[in-house]
Amino acid sequence: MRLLSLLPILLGASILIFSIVHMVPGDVVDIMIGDQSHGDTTAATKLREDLHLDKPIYQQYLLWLWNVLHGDLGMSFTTRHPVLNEILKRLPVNIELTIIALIFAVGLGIPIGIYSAVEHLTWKDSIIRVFSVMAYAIPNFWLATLIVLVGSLYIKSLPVLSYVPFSENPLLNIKFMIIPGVVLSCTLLPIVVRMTRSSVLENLRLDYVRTARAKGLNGRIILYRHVLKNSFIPVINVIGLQMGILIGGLVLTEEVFVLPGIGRLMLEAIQKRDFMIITGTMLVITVAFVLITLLVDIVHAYLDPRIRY
Amino acid sequence: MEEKKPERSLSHLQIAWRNFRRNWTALVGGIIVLLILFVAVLSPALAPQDPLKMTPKRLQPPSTAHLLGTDQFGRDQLSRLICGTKVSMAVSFGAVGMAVLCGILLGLISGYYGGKMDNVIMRCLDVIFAFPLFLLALVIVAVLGPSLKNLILTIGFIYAATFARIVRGSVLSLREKEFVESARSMGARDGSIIFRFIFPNILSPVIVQATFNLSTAIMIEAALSFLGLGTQPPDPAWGMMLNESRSFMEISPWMAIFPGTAVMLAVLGFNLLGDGLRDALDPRLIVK
Repeated sequence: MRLLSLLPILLGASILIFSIVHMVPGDVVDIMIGDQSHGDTTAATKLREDLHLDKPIYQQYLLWLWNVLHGDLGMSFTTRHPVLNEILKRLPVNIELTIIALIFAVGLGIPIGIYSAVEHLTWKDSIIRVFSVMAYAIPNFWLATLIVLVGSLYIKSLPVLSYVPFSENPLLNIKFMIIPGVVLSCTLLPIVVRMTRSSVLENLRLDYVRTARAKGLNGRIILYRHVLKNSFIPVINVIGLQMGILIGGLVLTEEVFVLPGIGRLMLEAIQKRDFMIITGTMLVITVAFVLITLLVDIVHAYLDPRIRY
Repeated sequence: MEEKKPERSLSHLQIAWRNFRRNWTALVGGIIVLLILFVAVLSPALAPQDPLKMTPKRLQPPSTAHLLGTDQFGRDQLSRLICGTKVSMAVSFGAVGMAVLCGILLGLISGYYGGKMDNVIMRCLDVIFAFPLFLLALVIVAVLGPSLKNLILTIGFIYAATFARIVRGSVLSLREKEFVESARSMGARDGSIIFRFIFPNILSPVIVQATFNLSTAIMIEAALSFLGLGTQPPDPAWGMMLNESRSFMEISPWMAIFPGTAVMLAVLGFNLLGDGLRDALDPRLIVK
């Protein structure tokens, strides 16, 4: 059922992406060709045919959707390569960055959150709370810029502004990717900390904890065996909800650290007004986002037996 | 009964204000927000120099003449930062204002009347939420062309979806409440029920959400203008100043520090204020 409900959403998303390109003020072809035509109209005519601009708008959409469903996202206007190939070439960067960011956000956020809850109302808890509120307010592109600044001014050996594909040299690749990944995780980390903290605190107040205490169970066992499992449910939910922020942050992180990911492909396409790449990247990112949300829902349902789809 | 009298004489707003006053982080947030609004409104008078005036004193470090130094065209950074506040606030308040109006309207229609209309509106919102919102804003602004107006329209359009969803949820639960039912049974018309009974009760969640959205709107505006998709040069904006600083970072690192600090302070202020308002306006959290 949950899977079926995604179909109309994805269909609607494809209509929105398609219509965004048609929102361009003026003629798309003129904008795409720009000054390069020098009065030559053949290129424009060819492009008009390729984009099926001579047909009614619903036919244009259906043709585009048909091609998309067959894995054809069109041809990039500037690089003359299929859009899908360009995207697949850059996708590993995004996947790797997201994984590093998630590992850091979850791996650090959950223990810090638990610690903060256990040390509730002490100075340690206060420090953690102040830091997480501050960290949440730091724009990640600013943090990235500052790290690049520190790297170029003071710590020359700081591995930033370089990239080596994972397949060529895995160790060097991870060395270059770790700082951007950590910076990216900083948008998610404070949210995970806050959510874990409040969730653990809420669970600690519940009746079953009191019962366990009354049974004479030791505090540690109650925390690790009972409270944590129940506390993870809202944390996982919030991570799913915040994936959009993480994906949005990818564009900025890639831009500052000059990493060849989809985000930069999109920004370059925006600068060159390459609409095929813009729609293609947007579509791939949206489908990925929707699938991640689905995955989170599945994990959520698995952990919380009260939820069924 | 008599003991409860003073408690009763306090209105919901008075209780909220009392809760808010006792929360020092909320007060700090409120003060930061007030300061920023003060700077934004009075920016032409507060700026010590013309933010667009170029001088030969390029990339100067902070000094008494230029408290935050100068940029690559010799423009006073402090004046640019102050005028950037106006841009940032105009975009965030413009966008959130537009979103609140549209969102309340959509949410009321959707939640109060229900039926087919509700279904159509909700499915459209689902589509918007299928996108990472920042990327949607990025692409729409890029396609429409970067300008202050387009930034406001785009962020407003996306946030309208958030407000519509919140308002609809509140309206759905309020619609079934006894006081609405009794008003209806006394012959009140839909318009009067909506404005006299439902509307005042959805204000709290809307105000709290609006405060949080103001902070994310500031962040989105800064990020988009960082990418060159905000206000166009020479007009100053925080994100753009940060972006410009990247080319001169090694010579004048302070150029990168101040605009980022401004964004951080603004976001922090609105977040703290939002947290405080949420706690203060929540009727379940009445502090005696």
